[in-house]
Amino acid sequence: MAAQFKSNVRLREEKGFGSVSMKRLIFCGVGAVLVFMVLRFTVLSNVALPMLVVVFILLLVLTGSRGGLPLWQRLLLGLRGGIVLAAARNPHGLSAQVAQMLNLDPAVAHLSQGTVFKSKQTAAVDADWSEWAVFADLDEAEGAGGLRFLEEVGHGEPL
Amino acid sequence: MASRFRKDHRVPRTVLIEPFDLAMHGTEERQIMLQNRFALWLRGLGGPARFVTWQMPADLSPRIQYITEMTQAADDPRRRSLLVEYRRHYELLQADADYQRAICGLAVWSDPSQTARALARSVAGSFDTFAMDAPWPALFSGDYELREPGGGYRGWHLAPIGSPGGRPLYAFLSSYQFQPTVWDFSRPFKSLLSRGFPLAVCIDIPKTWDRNDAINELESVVQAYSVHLATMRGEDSRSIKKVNDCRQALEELNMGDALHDVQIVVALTAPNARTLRDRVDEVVKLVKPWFGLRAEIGEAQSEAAKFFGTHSTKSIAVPHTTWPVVSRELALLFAPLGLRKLAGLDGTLRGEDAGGAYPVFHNSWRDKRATHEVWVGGSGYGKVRRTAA
Repeated sequence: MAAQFKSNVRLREEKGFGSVSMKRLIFCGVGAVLVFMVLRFTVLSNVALPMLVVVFILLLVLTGSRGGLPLWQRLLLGLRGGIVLAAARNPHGLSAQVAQMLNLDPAVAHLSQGTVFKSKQTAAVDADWSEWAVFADLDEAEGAGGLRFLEEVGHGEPL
Repeated sequence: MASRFRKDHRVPRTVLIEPFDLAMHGTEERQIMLQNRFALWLRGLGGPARFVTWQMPADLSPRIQYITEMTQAADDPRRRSLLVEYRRHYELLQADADYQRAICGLAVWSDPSQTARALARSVAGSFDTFAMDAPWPALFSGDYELREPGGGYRGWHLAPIGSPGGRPLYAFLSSYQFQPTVWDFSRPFKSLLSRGFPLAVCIDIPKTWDRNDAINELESVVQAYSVHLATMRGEDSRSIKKVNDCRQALEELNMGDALHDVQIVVALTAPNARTLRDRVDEVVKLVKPWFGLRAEIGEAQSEAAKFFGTHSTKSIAVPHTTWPVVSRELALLFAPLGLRKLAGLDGTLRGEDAGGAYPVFHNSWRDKRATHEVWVGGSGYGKVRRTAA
């Protein structure tokens, strides 16, 4: 009657350093090293090493998860929500143009019962049987303009 | 290519299910049987599915009104006095109780040739309760708009627009982590659905894995972790737990279970932002030992409302933080089916539920499961009239 639920058996999170997984450490390390290498070829080569550390820490913070989402995604969702709301309130303003540029739909800020909870159960397949009239006698049905039995179909061929 | 074609043309079929009383399956053996029965049905899932429970405050007013009208129309004085007694009884029940009404719905995305009626028959047979093919009720009425944090609640939420007319605010919370702990039919949903405010719970099953694919997936995870543990210096208890969990899941898959991706979405309501904050905090804290909930952010808040309709999961733009569970675990997420609330007021008052909290009405003219009944009583005590009332 009970079951012991399991950890996420599809997710790989090998131990890295402290509470940071190996996957996240590798991603942050690679990102920071890429920035370091690019800066080494520019006039900012003298700040490349401090930037390596800063970018590493920044990536570590941005990939920190809360509520199952990394910080960067939470910030992005909040930003998108703000733009969508502003665009919905002022359809001809700057925010509407930004929303259009980012391919955001301001219509998601408004929900209507009729559109969100509209049943997609097609009537063609699921006819409402309660609307079917039931007759006690075949003659009664034929008289009511309902079910009719034909003696001939098409080009005079017998049924 | 053929299977891809079929998948693209899946259509949702919806049924409404009447909750039953889990206490009627009181023994350990009966509840194991129930879990196995649910799990067997879930093993056969071929496409996405969604199970929803709506819970809202309710009272006996429609029933009292019905009895009052019958009393006024009654010609027979004995019948009238009997109906007056019924009305008094209902009024007494109403005065002492804080009722809620619950209804469950199931949607399955399947081939267009499968009708909702066939699904209802399958559900009624497997879950041993009354199910009928019907569209789902709307979670809210009228128009709503997305609101940013403020007004006493620090999260995004939905607020009614136009004339509010007593319509509440809504907040949607999604699960992101299932705790490795013991779940059963009463924990955690019994305490969640005992809250005294309207809420709705959605168990979304966007994917049921093909058994071979699931086994391959888990075996690759075990292999990767085995290499990691072999080269690891020191202790890594989480990796050891993960390998054990994977092996247990593999054993259950090899015994016939299916692997499902699952996400729980909870819709909470409140008359104002401060109450909404309190209710969100209460629910998040309540279910924390079993699963983590996060309040959806930004446009994901309005998109999450679509989980309570028949939109496919892919078309709902929220971060999908699903959790893999096997069929016997997923069966326990259908626990709201066994938590009877005030069901329909149609039919005759037959008694109380096992917990004694709710009156149970049953119309044996409509629901043909109980056509054989014996009514015992002396002559003139209203056996016939009571059945017809």
